[in-house]
Amino acid sequence: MLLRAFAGPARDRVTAVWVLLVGATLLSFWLGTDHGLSSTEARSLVILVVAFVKVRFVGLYFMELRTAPVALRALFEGWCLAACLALIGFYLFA
Amino acid sequence: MNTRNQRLCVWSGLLMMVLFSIGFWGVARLIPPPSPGWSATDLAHYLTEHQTRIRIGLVISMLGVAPGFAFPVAILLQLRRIEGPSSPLAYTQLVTGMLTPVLFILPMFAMAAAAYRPETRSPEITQALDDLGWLMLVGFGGPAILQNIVIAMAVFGDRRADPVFPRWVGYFNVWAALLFVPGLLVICFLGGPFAWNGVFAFWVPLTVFGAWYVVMTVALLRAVDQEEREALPIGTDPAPAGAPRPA
Amino acid sequence: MSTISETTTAAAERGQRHLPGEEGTWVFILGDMTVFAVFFATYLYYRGQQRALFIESQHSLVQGYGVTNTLLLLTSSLCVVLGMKAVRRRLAGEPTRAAPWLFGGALACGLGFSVMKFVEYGQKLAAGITPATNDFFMYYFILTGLHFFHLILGMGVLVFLIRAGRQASMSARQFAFVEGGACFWHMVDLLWIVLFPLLYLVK
Repeated sequence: MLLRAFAGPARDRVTAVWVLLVGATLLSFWLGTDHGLSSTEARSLVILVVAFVKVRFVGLYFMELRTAPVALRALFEGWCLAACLALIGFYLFA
Repeated sequence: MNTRNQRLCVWSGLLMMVLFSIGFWGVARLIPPPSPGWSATDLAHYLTEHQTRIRIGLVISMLGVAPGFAFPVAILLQLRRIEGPSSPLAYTQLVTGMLTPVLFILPMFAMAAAAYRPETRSPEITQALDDLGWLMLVGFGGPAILQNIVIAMAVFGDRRADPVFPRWVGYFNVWAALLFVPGLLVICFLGGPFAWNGVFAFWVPLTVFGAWYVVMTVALLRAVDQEEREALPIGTDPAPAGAPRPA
Repeated sequence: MSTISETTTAAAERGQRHLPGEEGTWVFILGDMTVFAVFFATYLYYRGQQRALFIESQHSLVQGYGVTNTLLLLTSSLCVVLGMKAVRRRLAGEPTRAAPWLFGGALACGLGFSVMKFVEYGQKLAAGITPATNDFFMYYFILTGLHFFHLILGMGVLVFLIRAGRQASMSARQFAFVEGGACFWHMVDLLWIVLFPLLYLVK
């Protein structure tokens, strides 16, 4: 019964999102421990953008904002975009 | 039931904010606050130079804070409609709410003492008084946090068919309570965002504080309207509301 | 209980829009997220003032702890999502009892996060690193501490969800409260997703 919760037909999408989020976390970890791109700044920017992509996925699929009223979804996505841009700005220019 | 006086109590909250802003911000120009990083001599010099406007501003804001005593009474009267005859939350709210104007006036007296004779006394004494004033004004979050939590508990516990406050008012109060917490850290920092002129200790709580008065005023005015409608004899009320029951 | 299944599962299947939780839940969640965004931006602003110090101090953080905690929270969030689905199936009449177990799994992940946090704080303090050490560690302790405070509130919410998950029926308002609680837990996860790279990885 518990297994069904993880593997049932209507559930596979959120489980797939979880796999994606874990993958993105490991990617950031790999980049953050000085692998991948040679430029520190480029690595940090990728890490920041990946973080907000993950945030968006958590919002849309876990908080179920994908099917929420448009205004709420727009507020959430607006937050993601504004916060991501603000943090990139502060990272680059502060 | 006297809804006219109740509405006066409701409006007293914003009246307090306006008068306080005029005195403290407009005249005394103590917002943005003088930095805790200033040397004692600089501070004493600043207070000497601007002594007159700081004094006049403090007089206005100390008087202006007085209407703030009526605001928690307005909240009490509405929370009692939720809770019924025995209303522990409403009275806890009253006690904590009463402390807000007190905790505005006391630190302003410390600031007034700092500006009393900065030109003749040793600057370190002036600095100590000024520290006392600002730490008290910015760091007094405790009672306000409890007040917010108590209001939220009452709103969430409202079992009336037609609730006194919409439930989002409860969530808003929980949010406000959380934002007052960083202000308590003010005693640990001489600079940066958690110092008494910092983003988290001063600007965020100040904004939330202002927003809280606006939100509560709107919510209270609607609640008083609803109370008036419910008091009308049955039949004249176009939208019959649920009778109050103890939570 | 037809009202609940209509407004949630069935509505989603018919492609209708459904507000998770109550409107007020979102006043709180979006408000909290906005304040945290200000926290994050402030951190980066002050980091820009003392870049070398921040990068040097960051070296003494153990990234492994941060990654493990991220994975724990992601897993807990998945458990909560699946738990909510189980709650809906149960309210729709299916005899499933998975929900309390799934919420319990999320709580176990939360406890795991707390243990890691204590170990991490303990090691820092044992090494003589405190919030007073420098500005980086001040932010490190305050930001992770504020997040930890939210996590503890969230674990309280999970205990409530475990109890609610046992019920075979609930009112529309109770159900909205449960949904709001689940979203609060996702917010705890979401904030850590930003906080972890900001403190541990961004150089």
